[in-house]
Amino acid sequence: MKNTIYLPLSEPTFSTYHYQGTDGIVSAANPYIHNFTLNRRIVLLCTQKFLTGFSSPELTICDTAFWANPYVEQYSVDLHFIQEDPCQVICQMLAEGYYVYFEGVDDFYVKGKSFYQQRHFSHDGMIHGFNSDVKMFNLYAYNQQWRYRSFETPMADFLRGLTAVQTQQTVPSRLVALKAKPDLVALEPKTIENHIRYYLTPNLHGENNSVMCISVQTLMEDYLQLLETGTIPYEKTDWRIFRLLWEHKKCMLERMIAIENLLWKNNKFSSPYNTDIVKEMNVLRLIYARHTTKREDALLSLLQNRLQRLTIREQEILTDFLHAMEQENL
Amino acid sequence: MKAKQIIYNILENISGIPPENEADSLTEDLLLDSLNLVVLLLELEAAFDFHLEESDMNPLDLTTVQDVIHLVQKYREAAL
Repeated sequence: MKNTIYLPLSEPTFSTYHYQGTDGIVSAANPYIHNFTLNRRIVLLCTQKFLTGFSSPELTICDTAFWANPYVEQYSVDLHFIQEDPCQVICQMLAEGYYVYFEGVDDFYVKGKSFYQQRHFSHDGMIHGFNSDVKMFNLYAYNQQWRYRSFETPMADFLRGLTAVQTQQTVPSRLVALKAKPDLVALEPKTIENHIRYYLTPNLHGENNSVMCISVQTLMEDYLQLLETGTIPYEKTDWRIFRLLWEHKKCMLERMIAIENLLWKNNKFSSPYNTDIVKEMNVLRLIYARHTTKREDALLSLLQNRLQRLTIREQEILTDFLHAMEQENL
Repeated sequence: MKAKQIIYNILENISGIPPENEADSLTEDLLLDSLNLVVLLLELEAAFDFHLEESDMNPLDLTTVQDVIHLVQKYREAAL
């Protein structure tokens, strides 16, 4: 086995959560897999538990985790069943070209990780390389500045974080070896049309009374209102929601451009979507970041109003886009 | 300390790279990302004791060091 391995990195489409970023980085080895994202990863989802005491809306985009991606080869190992040194197992996986996702590792001990030396938190992330000469892993995860980046951490620190969680036996620690499959995945305009139609359907509910699709954004206005009234304490603000919504819009734009290039060779719909939705959501993300950095409750009503306007505009543009697709009789 | 020097110090503290001149790009020369730009605006407010209006809250409107200087000038002149 080589002394150093560094598997390639690229900017993932979704990176609000480690399980999303891992998927994007791993699957980038086969660019065709991105069509799976364009075809199917459209549906927003959140729970309503925050209306009755929970602090997070648990906002996500359906099927954006690597385990929902049929084009990523994956082997999961529960660390309770590994007899040898887990660091050696990880190095072997990397040497064979597999990225290594981990969960059940205490951030407190892992140098460079988001809660390093701050709080005990069983967390996940991804390893994309190692240097056995200096006994370091290369992680791609949220760092101490809460940026999604690559950084080095000593193998000994990682092992300590792993052991700490395993000893407590509160959550299972596991490693998942991941590699992109070589499949050819085509862009499917009809699938996209169906998913956008579904996304625009109001008042959709999923399991456990979760809310789905565009209505999620209306529910996020309620979330902001609960933050504004203090019903959800400022300290428990979920800072991730506008990042996820922004990533959702960027991906929708990419999807629209792919369809326009295929069907019409123009940017009739993507151009206003970029200006009115993607750029506006980016501004909202940064205003929200301002509030999470330094509490300014006045910004919350501003965000509610702008999010409401954005949602109405998004409905208009996507409805027009959908009508144009329907006329193609795909 | 002059306003320009205070701005340069703030930029260097956030970026880790000292600005060389007013034409420096915040993202390309000083390597500030979008969240660094949010922090920059908050630091400017604290240093110069003003509060940004909604229309100035988009940090992506700032491209160069000169833009930052102009923004501070605008609020300092308004306060006179």
